[in-house]
Amino acid sequence: MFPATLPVRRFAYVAGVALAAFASGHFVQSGTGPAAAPAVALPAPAPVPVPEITVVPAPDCARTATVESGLAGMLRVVLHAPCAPGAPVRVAQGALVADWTLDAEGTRHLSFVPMSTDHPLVVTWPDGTTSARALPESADAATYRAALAWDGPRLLSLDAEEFGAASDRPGLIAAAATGLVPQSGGGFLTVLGDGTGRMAEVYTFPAEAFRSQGVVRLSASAPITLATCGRRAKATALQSDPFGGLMTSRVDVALPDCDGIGQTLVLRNLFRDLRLAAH
Amino acid sequence: MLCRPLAFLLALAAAPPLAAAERDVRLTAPDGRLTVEGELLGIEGEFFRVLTADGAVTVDAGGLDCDGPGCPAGEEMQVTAAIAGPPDLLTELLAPLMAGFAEAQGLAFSQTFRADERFTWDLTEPATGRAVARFDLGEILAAPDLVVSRIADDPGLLADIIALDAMVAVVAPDNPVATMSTPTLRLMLEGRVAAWPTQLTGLAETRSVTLHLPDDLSAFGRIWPYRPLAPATTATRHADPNALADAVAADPGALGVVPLSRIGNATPLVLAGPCGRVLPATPMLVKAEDYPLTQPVYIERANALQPRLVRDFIAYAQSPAAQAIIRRTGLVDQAIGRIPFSDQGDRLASAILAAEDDEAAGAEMRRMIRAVAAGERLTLTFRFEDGEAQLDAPSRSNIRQLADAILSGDFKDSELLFAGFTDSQGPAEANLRLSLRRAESVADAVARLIGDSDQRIALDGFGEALPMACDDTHWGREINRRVEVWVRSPRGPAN
Repeated sequence: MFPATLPVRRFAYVAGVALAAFASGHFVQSGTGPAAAPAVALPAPAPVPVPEITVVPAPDCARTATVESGLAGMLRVVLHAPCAPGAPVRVAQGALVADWTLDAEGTRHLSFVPMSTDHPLVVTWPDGTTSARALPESADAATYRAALAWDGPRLLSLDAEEFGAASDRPGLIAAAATGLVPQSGGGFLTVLGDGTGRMAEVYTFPAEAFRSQGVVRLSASAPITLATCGRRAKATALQSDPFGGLMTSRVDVALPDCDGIGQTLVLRNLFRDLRLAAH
Repeated sequence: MLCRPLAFLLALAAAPPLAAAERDVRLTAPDGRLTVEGELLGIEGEFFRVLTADGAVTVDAGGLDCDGPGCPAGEEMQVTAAIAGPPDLLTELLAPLMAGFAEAQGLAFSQTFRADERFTWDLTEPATGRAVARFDLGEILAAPDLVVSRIADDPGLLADIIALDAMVAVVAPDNPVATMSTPTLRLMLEGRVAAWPTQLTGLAETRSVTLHLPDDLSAFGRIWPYRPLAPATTATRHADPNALADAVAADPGALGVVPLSRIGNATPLVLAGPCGRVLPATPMLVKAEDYPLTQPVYIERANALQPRLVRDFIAYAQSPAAQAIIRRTGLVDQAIGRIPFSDQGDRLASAILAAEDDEAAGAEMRRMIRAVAAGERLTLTFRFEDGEAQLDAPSRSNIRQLADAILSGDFKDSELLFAGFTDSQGPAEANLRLSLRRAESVADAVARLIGDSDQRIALDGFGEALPMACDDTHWGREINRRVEVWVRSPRGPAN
């Protein structure tokens, strides 16, 4: 017998860890008083209009949102709303949306993964107002991404099986398991959101890893447990399409009833294969 | 088919007013020249069945105005269609094509998964949100309107080819075997070889053979037409080609057969004829049908009467805009490709070796090389029934495609050389005449379609000078009987 082919369930890079360089590149929206006009207007990214910057309620309550490019096309985002400790914030980029909670100081450091380069990052503050930030120049259009986004409890998760089980690249899983962006020529998973609302799981295959040749198969799976049996799994699947656009699919799947506990429902046709040809 | 428009026209000619009833409709063309009225019996998509004074008629109401109490609300005008097919073709090929079609039509496209092999596509007007069409998709549907398939097995359906694929033999990436002759392949697929021969693998240890085969192996009919393949009963059969490719990629002893578009992480084997001539399954050779196991992907219509949107989608799938989408799916598109002379090295080398002791064949080959050396071969190749100048079925549709390209001016500054070839059966001189006759018959068929044209055309026959595949097999001879079309500069070497 030969080893069975099992999808590799990769380590999930949980966004929201403290970032060392959070002080750098501070931002844009600094209020000076209730009567002050909105401060500096940002140049809008070409295709999408940037919503107006919000008037801040009080000098002490100036809110800031900074966006910097991180590893493998990820974005390092620092949100600060000193007058809203513990309040929810929403970060969206195109169709990808995730919710976080600000800490006791009203701050949140998070990593975000843009699905495309043609939408700004939009932060929705606890009072419903929004701030938009253009993506940094280095946002990488060639990087391939797929995502599963949902609201509420997690029923489905994203799986990537890279280059078949015969692949002899053991460094890949280990590198991912350290929580760093793997440098070994493979992809990685990132979870967006802290479980308080909308969440997403993003698979990134960095452009610099395109030297590999073969197929990455993506699927979504739902282990059937006492907590999930008989429920409806609703989610949105997002995938870069071959023309730089984004393909969106809704998922509305009835999970097997509780006789099926212990089984796993696998959606193999939700995502198209990622095909890589060696250069 | 013909009687419907006729009945429709008859109804138009004399449609006396009917008593107003709840189901009455009056369908009018915007220019006012067509009117049909009567009781609405039913609606299917945009087809209305109307009971007129002259009997029931079915009218394609797309583009007609509807007045009267029986007219449907917008909801009912939505086109619905069920499309059945293997999940890999629906997901990898048809979904990107439908997304491209929606974009070309200015419609929004979305898909909803109900289960892994059951999903729906919705086309909506982005401004109004009006639902324009809904497609139900699944592997097995009760009464599909369209079927996407690798086998056009139902002669009752109208089939269009939307892409090309090819069956390939595959092994694991760490299997050292790269080439296999068709007789060896047959022995292995029939389970008559228990272990990989060490002279093939070059390995000290022996590996046992495990077979992974699709449910349908009919594509091999072209290689072994007289004695169909009897696959080993020990072979693992797979309905899902992705699962097959994954199983092969993971098993160093595996030999599988899978569509070229679905090889995944497995490695394709190059097939060789018994004489040693090789035909790798490259997209260009698949498109030129030089590769023996080319397999079209069909879209079949259960009924000639399809809503206009569905007909438009099928036309889109065959349009130039769709070919770029198809190329990116891993399938082979149908756009006419050009193979430069410099990429013909393999077959020239083997032909030169074969003609070593034959002065006449050598001279013929030198003449051929002078004729095309500065040119490019089109992937459109015309092939013939045994010993005849009669074109086979795919080649007849190639005639139209070539005529369309000529009329579009694709070759207006060039000369097209129709170069005929034969297999090596029979005397060389007769073959020379037959090859020229074949070139003439193809050029004539194209000329009949294009009518008057400034296109410069040249004809030549090279007999058995440049065999592509082995002449000692049926499929090899079939591939060798052909007319190639070469594009060359009009000031190129004269014949």
